[in-house]
Formats: sequence, structure tokens, C-alpha cells
Amino acid sequence: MSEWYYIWLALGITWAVLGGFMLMLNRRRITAERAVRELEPGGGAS
Amino acid sequence: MDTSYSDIAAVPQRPRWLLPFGIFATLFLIASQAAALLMSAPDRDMGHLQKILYVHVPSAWMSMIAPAIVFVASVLYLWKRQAKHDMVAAAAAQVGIVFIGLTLIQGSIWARPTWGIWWTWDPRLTTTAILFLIYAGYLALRAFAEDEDQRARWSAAVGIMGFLNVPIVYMSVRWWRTIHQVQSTPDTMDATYKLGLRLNAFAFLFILIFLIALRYYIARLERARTAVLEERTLAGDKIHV
Repeated sequence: MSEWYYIWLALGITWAVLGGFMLMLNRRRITAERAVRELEPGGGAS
Repeated sequence: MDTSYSDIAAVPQRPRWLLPFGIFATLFLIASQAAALLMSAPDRDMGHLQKILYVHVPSAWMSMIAPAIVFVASVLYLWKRQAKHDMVAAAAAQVGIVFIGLTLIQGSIWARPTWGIWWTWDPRLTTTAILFLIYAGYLALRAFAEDEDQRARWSAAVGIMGFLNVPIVYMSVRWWRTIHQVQSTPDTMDATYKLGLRLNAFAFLFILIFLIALRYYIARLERARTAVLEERTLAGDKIHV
């Protein structure tokens, strides 16, 4: 296989893993912030 | 009466620098990757495969820095018994294992066209795989231990002992010289390779700092929420007694 196949494979996996992990954590941050807000007085949760 | 955060603990506030820094780190990484890929000429021996250097080496460095953060935070936890140190250690371990995993995958992809194999039990590869397993064990331990203090103490012990493998990973290429090359130095690299590698080393460092800070902030939010819910449950129990 061409050397570019291996180059793009290594770069693509790196970008995908880092990007995916960043998105996952960001989504978890939004969920956690929302959960905290809901517990504050007047936040909607009892 | 509602138990609010003000009764138990301060609401964890998102650091104002966190998201702007994340955007900066991402843009810096994109720019550094583009600059390194466009600037670097083919290597005499490896040709364009040399470009994998700009993700593999910075990932490998982060695979040593993250365990160092776990180590320092674990020592601080055992010394001061403050939950924040345990949370920092856990955040660094979770982010660290991503970089260790990436290092192994990138190395394997690089090995196939240069060594002719995807994997070999070379000391550098083997010790890095052991490092991955140590932090997988660390995270598994955290997932299974239910008592918060016990989890923090055990994790700190693993975090300290696990770090002992990092110098072994680093020195493995010098102690047992097999197929993996020894570390390059600035003197043995072309100037454009050096610049590209330095840019990407900082880019990966910024990403590492951002991810650990983000994970730590999430842990604080989740801990504060759990504390309020537990307090409310206790308050509810008292009413029913």
C-alpha cells in the first residue's frame, strides 16, 4: 500500500480520537451544568 | 426546605478561561499540523512516512506527562487528603489513557510500512502497552470502588506505583536496544522537522491541559450535585421518621 495510506490512517485516527473525546467531554459538561442548574432554587427540580 | 448548593458547597463555576482556551488549543493544533505537514520534506530513509512523527512523538510525550500529573496529584492526595487532588489525578488518568492508546495505534501504523509488521514485543512497545494496562486498571478500580475515601486512597496508590513504569518506558530504547529507534535530539534533526515537532508538542500539551481541566470541572460538578442529592435524601428521611 502507498505510504500516504499509512500517513492518513495515523493522522485521521489521531484527529478522530482527539475530536471525538473532546466532543464527548463537552457533551458531558453541558449535561452536568444543566443538572446542577436544575438543583438550584428555582431551577425546576425538587 | 430545599437543600441548595449554598448550604453544602459552593456551586462549581466554570473557569472563564476554559472554553476560550479549548478553542485556542484546537486552532493551534490545526495550524501546527498543517504547518508541519506542508513544511517537511520527505526523509532520506522513510520518505513521507516521516510525517507520522508530528502526531506520534507528541502523543508519546503526553503519555508521560499525564501519568506524571497523576503521580503528583496522588502524592498530594495522600499527603493532604483533599478530594480535589483525587479528582485531578482521575482526570489526568482518563485523558492520559487516550494519549497512550493513540501512541500505540500510531506506532503500530508507522511500524507496518517501516518494520514490515504491525506489532512486535519490542521493549518500548511492550512497556508502553503495560502503561496502557496500568491506567486501564486505575480507571477500572475507580469504577468498582464504591466508598469515596477508599477509592481515592487505592487510586492514589496505583497512581504512584503506576508512574514507576514511565522512566522504564523512556529508557527502554537505551537499555534494550532492539527495533525501536532511540530518541532523536535537536542535533540529529532537520530544522524544519524540529520546528514542526516543537509546534505540535505545544499543541498537544495545550490539548492535554484543556482536556484535563475540562474533565476536572465535570468531576467537580458531578460531585457537588451528588452531595446536594444525598443531603436532600437525608433531610427527607428525617421528615419521615
